[in-house]
Amino acid sequence: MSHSSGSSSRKRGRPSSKSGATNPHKPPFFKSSPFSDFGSYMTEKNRKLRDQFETDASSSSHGANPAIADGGVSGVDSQGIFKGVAIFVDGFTVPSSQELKNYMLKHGGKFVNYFSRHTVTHIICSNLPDSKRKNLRAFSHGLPVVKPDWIVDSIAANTLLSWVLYQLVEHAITETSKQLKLSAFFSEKGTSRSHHQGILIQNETSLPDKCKGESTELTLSGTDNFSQEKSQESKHIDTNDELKDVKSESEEDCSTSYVAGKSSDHLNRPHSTLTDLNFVENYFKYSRLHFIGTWRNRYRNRFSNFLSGTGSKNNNPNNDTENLRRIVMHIDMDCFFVSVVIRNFPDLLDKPVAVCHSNNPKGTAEISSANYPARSYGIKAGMFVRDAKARCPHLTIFPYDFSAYEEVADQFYSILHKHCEKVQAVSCDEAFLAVSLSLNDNPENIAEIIRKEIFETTRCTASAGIGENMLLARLATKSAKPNGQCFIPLDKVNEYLDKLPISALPGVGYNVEEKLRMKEVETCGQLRTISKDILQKDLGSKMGDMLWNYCRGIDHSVVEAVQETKSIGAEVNWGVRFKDSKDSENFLMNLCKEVSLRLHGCGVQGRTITLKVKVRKKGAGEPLKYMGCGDCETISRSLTVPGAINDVASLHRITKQTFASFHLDVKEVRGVGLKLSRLELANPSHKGVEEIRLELLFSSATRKGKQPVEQSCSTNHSREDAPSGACPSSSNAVSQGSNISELPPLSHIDLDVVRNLPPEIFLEMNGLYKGELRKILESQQQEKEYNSESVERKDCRQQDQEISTRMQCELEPSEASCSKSNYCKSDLMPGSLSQVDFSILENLPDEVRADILKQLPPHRVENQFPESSKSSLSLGSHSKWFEMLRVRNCLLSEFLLSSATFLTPNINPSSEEWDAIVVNLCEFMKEYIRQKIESDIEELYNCFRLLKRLSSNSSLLLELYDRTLPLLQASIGEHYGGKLHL
Amino acid sequence: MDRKNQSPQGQTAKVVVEFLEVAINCIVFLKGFYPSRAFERRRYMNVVVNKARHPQLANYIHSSIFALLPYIQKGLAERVVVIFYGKDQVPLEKFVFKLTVDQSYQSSVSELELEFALRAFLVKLNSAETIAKPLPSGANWEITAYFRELPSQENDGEETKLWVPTDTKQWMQPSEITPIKSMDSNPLKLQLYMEHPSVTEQKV
Repeated sequence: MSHSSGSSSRKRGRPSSKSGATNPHKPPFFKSSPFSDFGSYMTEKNRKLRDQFETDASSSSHGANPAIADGGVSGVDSQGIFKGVAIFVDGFTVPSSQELKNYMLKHGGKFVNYFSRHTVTHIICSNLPDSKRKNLRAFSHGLPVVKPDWIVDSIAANTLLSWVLYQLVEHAITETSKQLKLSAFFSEKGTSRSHHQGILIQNETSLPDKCKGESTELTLSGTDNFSQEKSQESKHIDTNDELKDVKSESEEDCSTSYVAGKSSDHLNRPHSTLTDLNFVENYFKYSRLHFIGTWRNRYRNRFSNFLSGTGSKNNNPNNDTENLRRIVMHIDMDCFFVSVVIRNFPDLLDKPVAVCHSNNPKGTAEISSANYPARSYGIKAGMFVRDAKARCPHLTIFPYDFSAYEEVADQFYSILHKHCEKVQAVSCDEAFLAVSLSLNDNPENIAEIIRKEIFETTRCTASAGIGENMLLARLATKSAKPNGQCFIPLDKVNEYLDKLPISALPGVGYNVEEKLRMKEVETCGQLRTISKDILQKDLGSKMGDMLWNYCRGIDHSVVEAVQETKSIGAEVNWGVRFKDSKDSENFLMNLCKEVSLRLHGCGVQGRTITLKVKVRKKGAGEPLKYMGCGDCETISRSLTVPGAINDVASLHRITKQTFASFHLDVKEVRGVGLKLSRLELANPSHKGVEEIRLELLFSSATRKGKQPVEQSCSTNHSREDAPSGACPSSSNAVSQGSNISELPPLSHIDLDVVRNLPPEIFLEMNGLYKGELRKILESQQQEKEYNSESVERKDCRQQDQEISTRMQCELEPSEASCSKSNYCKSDLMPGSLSQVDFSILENLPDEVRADILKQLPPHRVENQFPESSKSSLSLGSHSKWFEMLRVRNCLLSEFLLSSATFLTPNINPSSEEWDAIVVNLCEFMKEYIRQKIESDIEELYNCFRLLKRLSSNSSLLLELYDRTLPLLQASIGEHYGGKLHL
Repeated sequence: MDRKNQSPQGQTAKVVVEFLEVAINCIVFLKGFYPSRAFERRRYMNVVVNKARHPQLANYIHSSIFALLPYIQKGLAERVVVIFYGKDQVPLEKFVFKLTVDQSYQSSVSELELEFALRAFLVKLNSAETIAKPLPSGANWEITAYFRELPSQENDGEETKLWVPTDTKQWMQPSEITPIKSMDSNPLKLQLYMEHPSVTEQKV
């Protein structure tokens, strides 16, 4: 052994006499055959590596700190901050494992080459594969898995930092967020914002309507990347009706006109959730984005004959020849919202014009679209009107003209469909065309024709981009604008992309741009120099892959005529202010109605409900934009229900629940969005299934195994509960669509069923009946109790004369809490044990309780039946004790443990009662010892240890202990030849 | 043993023997008698246990315990004791498995139940490490079985000869007993406890 370690040292050129002295070899166990098998070989190898390491350690610490080493000062340094730490490095790390090893060398730690549970104290790694992450325990063997930063930072701080903060997999994340919520819940309550609301209400009458629905966002759907900006979609909404509404209102309010004498300034129209009961409805009525979103449905209905596939063929006579070439054309109207409005005002053509809700020059309404002359002043979409006016005082502002938009969009699309059979609508003013060309066709000619036709028909200009794929076509349109066209042939792609800033690529937002800028990448040409792996590592696999493709002009997406709707929802981020929870509930109800309407309109149901809430960020002031959402944190939570839903009642129930689970201060809420995904086609036959399911669910909840539930009653009660729906066990189930029906008269209710209801439902029902229900139950209860008592009394007389009736009551199932008993049914067992109400358990019949307690993990059992133990202390005879233990199915030690604090009866120690109790208990104890001495000294041991411990608080137990200990020790001696070591 | 006409006792004995082997491995490991790398982690009855890796050690435990199988089945073996000796061959610590196999029990054995009960032993044993004081250097250990009566050589032939009468020194005073775990599941009663010399004994 020592020879081999010596040779290894020699090999490294560091003969060290010290290593032998400082490292006493552990007595080698496998002395006889060091290499008899792989195991012993590894043992030897590990030992050798360790020796080497220690040799290195001593020499390197000498080198690093010669003064300390020479002076023989064994200060902190020579001990090292990592004393006692042994790391194992797994996989690639920064710094590398070699560096880490050196750190450990210098600072007194150990570095282990081969993992072993017993030698390693920390596992260091930067990344973990998914499988290991999922099965972390199997990988780590319970050892901490720590990022290498821990070592680096510890060295920097020159002290061993807690590794907890450096854990690779943080379980803490979810917890912290929960805690945050809790603390927010408690602390934020006090900071009222009522002063703001006061002002708000005052202002309402004086301020004209502005920027209604600026930030509406209809949940986006569809697969294509390009549609992100504008593809907010929702299928439903009767757009026609809506637009008529807008129009009629516009005409009514012509009085205070601007520009064309038309106005959509609806004075006095309330516009916050505070004052407007129909806020949600109105909100969407005046929303531009909502128009864009719902436009697609209209389009789909109108052009369904084209979309179905057999489009016109007049465009391409060579349709069936082989040498076809497919190109993609992207056509986009130039500043659609403006040009449609001003096409009737040719004199405004080269003047700055913008479209906005409000013309108030001081307002914070946002410009939705500006024409090119206006853009030259720096006016952009999304800018506040007051800023725009500041830049360009003579800016003309128009209100929306939804009907005109509709008309132009329809014309636009009919032209597109005429020329091409495959049109992918991106928005009302933007589309992709997949054009098949023969070799000698010039794509630019076709674009020319289309654009000309568009202009002639609509008097609005359009730009076209042509490329090999959707990406290139889209990029080409950008350089074509305004009123131009651009063709990027295949051989010019690289040239074009080289100078293109990365921000021009779709999907590249602020974050990605910033990240790439750090790498000094600003154009696609530069981006092309980065390998795919690095991109994927930095930006995530999807994004990295996408960018890698995009900067090479590769885009695999295909022009698709019809895109499937993936989700339907509605979101309101403007004007959301709640005073109290009633406001918020009201608002949620309206939002649910809206979403439900949209779902019905599309004829679909959704299974996943996502609620998104924007909450004012801590410390964020009142938003710049009037009634806007300002600086917000967004919280969202999804819930998937077993059966798809689209009715208001269930939506509302789930939404309410989810909203409540956020524990928010409603005053801080700035926006709410509700979205349904996993859509299924609505099928009326589903409904029936759901109802049956619901019924089953309720009947299973009410079944107690004893009485069959009467059918009529079960339906009765489920109807009552469905709308309120607070029952925890059914929270995920689908409730019936029926609204609150009339309560059945009290006399019709089966009290047996009621008694077996879970407590929440019972409470709710009780509330509905204004407490009558409970009264009736209680009166019944007393009768029952009386009966059972008398019956029992008879029984026990046969069994045991000594038993007092008082005790009997104690041990008998107390019926009073029957209504709650089902709460603890095994299949309804609460997920968290902290929710078990032990006062309920206590009142259960013994056998039921024993069952339940068996299902509780042991650590909770301590708390069981605190009350009853007190009185049972004075149980008549010792046989009664056995009876009790048998019934409870527990050992005495468990019982003692559970009732520890209650075993101090206030009885005078000198009284006769006291003596009687002590004698009884001693008898019981002796009997217990006799029973257990052969088979279970562990139990006796536990009992006496417990008694000893408890006797410090209870003179009764002390007495008991003193009296019975001699017997115990004698018995142990007799059976085991020793005495218990207590 | 013939599988078909297995008696409940035989069935139990087999389980017990297997269990004892594992438990003794664990005890030796927990006492830190050998370097911990002489053991490897295994899973038995879904509990993590440590099994000796060295063939000689593993074989010693295995063969001595399996030689007990017929005696356990017949209820002859009363106690199986792991004794740790100090330098002077005086026992320092005993781990006693007290076995009672009910010979009159005839109904079938629920092996599942049995395993469940035995598992508790292993769990308790693993957590009982703190009870055990570290052994002084030069310690030794052995497996000793206590029989209710001496097995007669005529009946059992060769196997009995492998057993040698022990000359373990007895303690002068009654020992101190620390129970670790007990179980009572027909037909087997099993208790595990530790014995230490009493305080007065150590002074003498």
